[in-house]
Amino acid sequence: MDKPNVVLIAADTLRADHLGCYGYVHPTSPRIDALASEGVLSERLFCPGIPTHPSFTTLYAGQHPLRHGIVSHGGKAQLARQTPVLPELLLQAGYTTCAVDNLWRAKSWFGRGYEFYIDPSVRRGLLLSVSCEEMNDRAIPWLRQNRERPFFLFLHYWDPHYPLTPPARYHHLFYDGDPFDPKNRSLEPWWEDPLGSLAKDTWLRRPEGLITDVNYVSALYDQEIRYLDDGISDLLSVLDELGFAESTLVVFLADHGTSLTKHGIFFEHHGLYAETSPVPLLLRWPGRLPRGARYPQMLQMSDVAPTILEAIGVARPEDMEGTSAWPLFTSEARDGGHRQVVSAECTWQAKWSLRTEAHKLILSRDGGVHGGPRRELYDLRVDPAEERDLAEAEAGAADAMEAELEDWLARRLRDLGRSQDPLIEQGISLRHLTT
Amino acid sequence: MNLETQNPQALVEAYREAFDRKDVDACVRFFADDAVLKFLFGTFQGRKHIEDWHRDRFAAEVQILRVDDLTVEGNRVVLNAIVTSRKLKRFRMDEVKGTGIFEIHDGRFREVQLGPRRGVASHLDWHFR
Repeated sequence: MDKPNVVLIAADTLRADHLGCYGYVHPTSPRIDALASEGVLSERLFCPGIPTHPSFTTLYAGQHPLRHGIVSHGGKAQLARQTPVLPELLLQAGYTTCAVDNLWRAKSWFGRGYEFYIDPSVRRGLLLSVSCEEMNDRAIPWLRQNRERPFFLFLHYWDPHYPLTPPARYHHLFYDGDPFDPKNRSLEPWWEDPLGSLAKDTWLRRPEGLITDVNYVSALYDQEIRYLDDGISDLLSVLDELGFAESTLVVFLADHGTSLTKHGIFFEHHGLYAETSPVPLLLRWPGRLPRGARYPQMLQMSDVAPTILEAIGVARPEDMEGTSAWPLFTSEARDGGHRQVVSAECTWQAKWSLRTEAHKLILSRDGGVHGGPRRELYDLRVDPAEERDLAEAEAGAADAMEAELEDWLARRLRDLGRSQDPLIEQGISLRHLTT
Repeated sequence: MNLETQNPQALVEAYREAFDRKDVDACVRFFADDAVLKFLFGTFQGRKHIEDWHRDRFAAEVQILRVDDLTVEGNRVVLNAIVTSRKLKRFRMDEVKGTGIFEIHDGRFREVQLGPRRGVASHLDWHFR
């Protein structure tokens, strides 16, 4: 059989729980929901590293951040040249590889393995201003011109990311109120934050005045998702029009979610809480994957590359340590997924988390911007939103999970021939924003 | 100053002088009544909003440290400069490479775009994750 094409669509900052197929109440995602019904959906894809740079490195390398070493966004650590990454493996397997993205501008390893690298944002001063329409304007002509060989196309959309500036035709959606009410002070806690201050100076200002209602900013986030959904609809329509539907594995995911206001974090994606992870994961390959199947097993971002490689019959390197979910998705195996997931962040604060089916422990190495307690414990069976910290009330359970997490870290570091916790060794990359 | 008599380059240079003096009223006089000013992620339209934008920038101690080059193509002037501000310093940036693009009609700015220089990976971007 000829190799299938692979289209990997990543939406930056997209929360799973703001999509219809993950139970959201607002119609933010009709085309993404349809994609879910055309293939399979993982209900719980967790991010071992957040935010963008750690998460995409985990995706590409199929390794946990503890192993690949990229634990912070904009940090000084470099991905080892010998670490295999998905685009290089596909290039070596005979694929024509193309990214429509801009991450190479920040870290060079995001460009590895791509024969074509299209960066629409190079025409803009700020890379995350690029819209799904601009992305598609470059990606779709590339698709039309590369029809003869198996291709790997990676698209990294930024629309749900700060700044939340959907086109005006979306501004009426998901909100009923007065965004400019001068008596509304719900955004004021954000003004002291540098990014909040920048928002206040720029995209929160409209001809009508300054946006003051935090709920409207949350609606802007949903409007961006709906805008992105329309963009993905356009892209998938072209894939179908070109006759690629049956011969293409489509993978859709996000690198992390975002907090809208929970835990005092305004429109940012830090804090190892439920708002940042899990993220959506959908796969479509008609005839090879079941339609509308959902999988509750705990997966993690490092599993995605091994899953893609197994799906298309490309051998995975030993260094790629994630677990392929392909047997799970194709019903060859009933069991799958992880018993626990360890996650890290080291951009605004340095913290580890250990998530099991029943609990989540968050362990702080350095509270950074938001400080917070040394450890937090949540009982996910009764508190899936992670609102009631039980670390003091159930100190014994917290002690046991902390010991389990520290033991896991120590064993992994020992296996890797290292001794230093990378969160401590590298330190918080954006600490300067706290002063 | 009679703005109507200024050629595009002289007009932008005169605006820069007013900007350096932090003279809000003088700066705003360079803009047409329905002018649009695009700054980073924001759009400011009309004299009132453009006046507010200038006050905010001066309050943030924005300074043009150096002009790298200035080019004129018809009624369009592109100014590349090095700028700084108190708010930029919060992002650990003492200075950034900025670009101003000025569209001029009838001796006034009709549209001005101000932001990081295009094609230059901006350190500011690294803060958005």
